[in-house]
Amino acid sequence: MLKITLILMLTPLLVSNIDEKKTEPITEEEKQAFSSYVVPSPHELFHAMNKLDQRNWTRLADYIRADRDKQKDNYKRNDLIAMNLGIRVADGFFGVIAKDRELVYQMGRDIKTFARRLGVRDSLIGLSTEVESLAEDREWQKLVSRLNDVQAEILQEMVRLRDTDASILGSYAGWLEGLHLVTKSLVVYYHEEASQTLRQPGLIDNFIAELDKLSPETKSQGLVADIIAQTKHIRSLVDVPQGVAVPRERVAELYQISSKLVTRIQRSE
Amino acid sequence: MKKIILILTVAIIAAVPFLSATEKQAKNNALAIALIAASKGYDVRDTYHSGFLVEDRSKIVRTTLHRGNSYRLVAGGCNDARDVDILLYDENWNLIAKDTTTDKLSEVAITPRWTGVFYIKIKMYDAKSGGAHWVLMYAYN
Repeated sequence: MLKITLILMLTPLLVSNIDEKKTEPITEEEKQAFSSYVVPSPHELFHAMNKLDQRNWTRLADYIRADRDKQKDNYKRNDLIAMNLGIRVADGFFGVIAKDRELVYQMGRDIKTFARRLGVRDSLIGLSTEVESLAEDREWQKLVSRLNDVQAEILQEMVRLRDTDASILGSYAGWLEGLHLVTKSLVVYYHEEASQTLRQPGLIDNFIAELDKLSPETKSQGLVADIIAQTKHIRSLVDVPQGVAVPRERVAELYQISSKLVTRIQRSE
Repeated sequence: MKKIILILTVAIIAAVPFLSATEKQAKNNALAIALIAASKGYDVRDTYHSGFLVEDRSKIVRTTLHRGNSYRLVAGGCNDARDVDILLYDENWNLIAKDTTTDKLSEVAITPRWTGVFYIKIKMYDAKSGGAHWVLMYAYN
């Protein structure tokens, strides 16, 4: 009896504690204190599009392959190497979605070439070798994980080399290539639901804030100055209300902007 | 009393740099859950975000989730963590998912109805020694 009484007496205390935990409101102070932005990988964007609108990616894979012939691999500046690495990794993620073994394999080789040029640690070269091997075996799920590792390792290498500008630009270029490929696909075949994946003003705000941290010297370079200006315009084009499609004409403009910027990054000296 | 709090605070801050092993524990704990998702066909983003939280404090990270994908967000505490919670808010700060169970591992699943910003709040509700390491990772399908 004593035990039952005790339980009855304690129950309201326990319940009140649970209720307090479950209904804890978020404070205005907390809303202002978010610490960092988890930048989604290009694979998440391709994957979402594929779920909303099953696409035949073969033509886009051919488009990347045709474009590859115009690309270079003898960049001298770290920021250009980092941006081109970011683009190649995004292409690798696309190769996984398209289940295009050759595209992923080639990307692994390109990363190795760039990594050696940068003089980075063996870990990145080892990861590239693993990417090639997984591509040979068509291990698509493992490839996503390895490509995530490659992307993270590149950015960490830049930080280790005390080149935060290159780290920021490398991350940006990977996102830009994702935008380029998705808008290319939507220009060929527009699909309202799939266009909603482009609604990323918050993510672009984060990139704008990151680009603002670049050194004055980097910001003054023609290509980077254009990237900063165009990114603000890109933000205005993808800023649509929740659940609303990004209109066809805006998608076409996004493709034009992203395509030109990617080409300039790939052809810069 | 103030002196004790000050000593405790200094002790916790001083201990953080030496707790990398516990950060690894937190990662392994979160990864164990994420790998279950992987076995169900989810792609795991195991490049993770992490930190140290004093008991009863929280951290908020932002991300963009895409319509079309289904996500599982996993927060893992190290072995010093007793209770780690995840609360997920949309861009208007509406609470849309949470895991407030009493466990050092916390997981929420969400299939967003639109692409946009989401805020992930990780709360160290209860921990031994006044604080613990946490790791956030996610999987999508």
